[in-house]
Amino acid sequence: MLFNSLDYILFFIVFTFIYFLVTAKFRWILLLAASYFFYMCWKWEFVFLIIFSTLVDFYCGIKMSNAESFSKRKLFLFVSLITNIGVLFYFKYFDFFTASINQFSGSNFQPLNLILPMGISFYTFQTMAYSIDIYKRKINAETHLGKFALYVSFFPQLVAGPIERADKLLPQFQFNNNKFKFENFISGTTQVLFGLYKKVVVADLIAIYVESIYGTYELYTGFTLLFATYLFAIQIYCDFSGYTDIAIGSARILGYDLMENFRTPYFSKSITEFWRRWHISLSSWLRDYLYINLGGNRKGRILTYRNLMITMLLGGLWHGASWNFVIWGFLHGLYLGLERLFKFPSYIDSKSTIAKLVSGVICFNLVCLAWIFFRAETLSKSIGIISRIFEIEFFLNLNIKDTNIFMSIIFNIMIFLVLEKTIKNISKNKTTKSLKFSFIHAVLIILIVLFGVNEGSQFIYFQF
Amino acid sequence: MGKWIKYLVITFVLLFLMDKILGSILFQLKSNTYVGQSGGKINDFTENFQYANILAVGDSRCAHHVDPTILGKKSYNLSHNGMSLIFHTGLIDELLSANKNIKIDTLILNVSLKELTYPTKNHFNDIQFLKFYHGKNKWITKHINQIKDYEKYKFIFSTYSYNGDFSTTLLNSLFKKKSSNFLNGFTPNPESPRDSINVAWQLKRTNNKLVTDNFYVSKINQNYLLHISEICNKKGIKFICFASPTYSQESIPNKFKQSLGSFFKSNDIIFLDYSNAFYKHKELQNIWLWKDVFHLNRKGAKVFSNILRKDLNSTDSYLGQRLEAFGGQKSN
Repeated sequence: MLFNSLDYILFFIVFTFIYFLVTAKFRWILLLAASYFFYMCWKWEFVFLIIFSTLVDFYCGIKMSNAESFSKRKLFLFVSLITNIGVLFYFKYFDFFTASINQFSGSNFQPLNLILPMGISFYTFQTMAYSIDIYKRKINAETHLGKFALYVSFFPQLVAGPIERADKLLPQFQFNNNKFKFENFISGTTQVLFGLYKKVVVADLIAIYVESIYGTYELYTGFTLLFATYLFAIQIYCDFSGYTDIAIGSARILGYDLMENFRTPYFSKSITEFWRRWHISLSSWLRDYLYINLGGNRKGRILTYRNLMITMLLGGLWHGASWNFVIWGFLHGLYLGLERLFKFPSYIDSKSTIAKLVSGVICFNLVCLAWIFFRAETLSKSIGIISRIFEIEFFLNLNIKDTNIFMSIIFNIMIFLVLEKTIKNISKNKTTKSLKFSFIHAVLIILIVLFGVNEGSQFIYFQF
Repeated sequence: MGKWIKYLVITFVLLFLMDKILGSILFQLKSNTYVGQSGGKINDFTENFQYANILAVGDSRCAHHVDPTILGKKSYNLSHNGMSLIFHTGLIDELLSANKNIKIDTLILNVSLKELTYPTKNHFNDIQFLKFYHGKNKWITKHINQIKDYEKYKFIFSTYSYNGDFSTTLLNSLFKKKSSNFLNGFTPNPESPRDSINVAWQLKRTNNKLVTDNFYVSKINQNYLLHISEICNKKGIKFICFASPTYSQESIPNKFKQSLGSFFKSNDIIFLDYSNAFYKHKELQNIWLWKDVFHLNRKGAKVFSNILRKDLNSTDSYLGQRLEAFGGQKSN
């Protein structure tokens, strides 16, 4: 069941209605059942994988919490991490590693060709964070299996995050006596509708254009490829932040707060700033549980750069089992390393507005360069696209392909920018004046009806 | 409770008003536009022409290949890029079944051989590009409603009829409202210096073979073709199908040729196969006539349209040759 389907909208309306009719004490049962149902609508077999992860982490959590000795805690942390990483490796990385070994050594290991369970990277990271936090005595283990299972499988954020921390989400399940609040409903609905608009209008329209250009890139001029890459940057932002908005909005209507995952990342002046504003739940996860544990910036200059690079390489690999994602991570690691070397973020903060603007443009282009590796299916294709962009002979001329799609994209990007600012301002003012919201909701619905792509396409981040 | 009611009432009233006002404006704009493939051209033909000696319908390989002015002064090309058979069937149904004033002598329909054997889900979805006729044309309405379970409910919004069509409706009506299709609906592919490079590159990586293990016209496509044939029979229109040429030969298995031949023959539909015309007509081997492997450019369209004109002028004898090639017999 995709967020951008009528199935989900109907499911959510019916569920919300029943949810607020049920006594607060038993709501977690309903929420857990709905979460498993939501996941089983995709492939019912894989719900057992979530249950398996839940049971292992629940058991290890209790054991760690009760353990007095450090070694025992370490042992159960090890069991939890090995189980989670093992499952992730088996489903996501086994074929990649065997293919790479075969390529380099000439061996002939057979691939498993398994279906990748949806959202596995997200819920695995969430449960690993839980285990590490208990190990570090930051939180106590959850003693209620049902509520812990809900923490792992909470349907609004199950398949593509935000990757929530236990200390923030678990307490919300303890005794949720939320009433069906008008304020929550209004702001949640605004976010859901805006998320839907970003996904089914902006991202899906751009996807048609980008797909046609990247699919046969040799046919197009450098400028067309550059333009398609810029559009892909907007597509992936609208696709992923659109999903996140629907997740956060849905949760808010039910009375739960999920963390912010994006803060207009393309307006960043440096790559360092970009990573504070892009996929915040993952970047903060990588910082807290990987970079800092590797030593962070506390062990000298060289090791800091090493730690940065390892973090970003693994961050790249988290997205997918392919060398393209590794290179994407490498490029970001390189950017961050260079910025740190030249103390760029603090330098640019002290400069004039024009310098900041130029820096923002450069930063956006660097991010786009990395997106080419993210979007192109193979390494040779990525290199082909980049070299074509820099071929002066073929640079000029923009191929707009389908005028209708092209005009709709341009029109909706402008509308999107206006709406993002307007919605942000209204949310800041915390106003609940019906007229403003009624108008915005009606406009968003009309825009979705007029421009929405009806193919019911998947969210890009579902594959991770 | 008061704020809930206030919010709901205001939202529904606003939504209703916006939808109705915008729907009416778009209806007016779309009805008075005479350019653009998914509306304007239809208006242009139904209002400015109404009669065609030869009407060409098909996808981009008809839109860019068939110059109706070469086929005859009173010919028209009503093709739409990227559309499959379901779209063309809906269009012909709307044009000929619903519209009593239209007169056509010969209808030529470009068919894709690959699509004939294996229509995909995307092919069926092409009918949604005729959403403007939902509720107005029975055949189109029925097939749009079959896309998804909830599809018909989306038409509660009158603006949904213009879904995916808003920008061009607006642009065409604002800037090109009165310009008619001076090429009789033909949309030539302008030549460019990159054409030969594109063809050479595509030849290297494109699989131009008709890869199929299904050697029969799929049942669903048979139904579409028979529906068009039935309309043509009722209206006394000669119905001819043709397959467009490609830069290199599409490899069509004999078994498929035979089944195609017997399908068209048993249903009395003339079929002109140009899928291997690249080898039969040496003039098409000039790389400068091609935009890419699948599409001729403006110069190429002239060459092909002349070949097509000759064949259409001698359809009866040509039909005999074709059917023999397919293992069939000439129909009377």
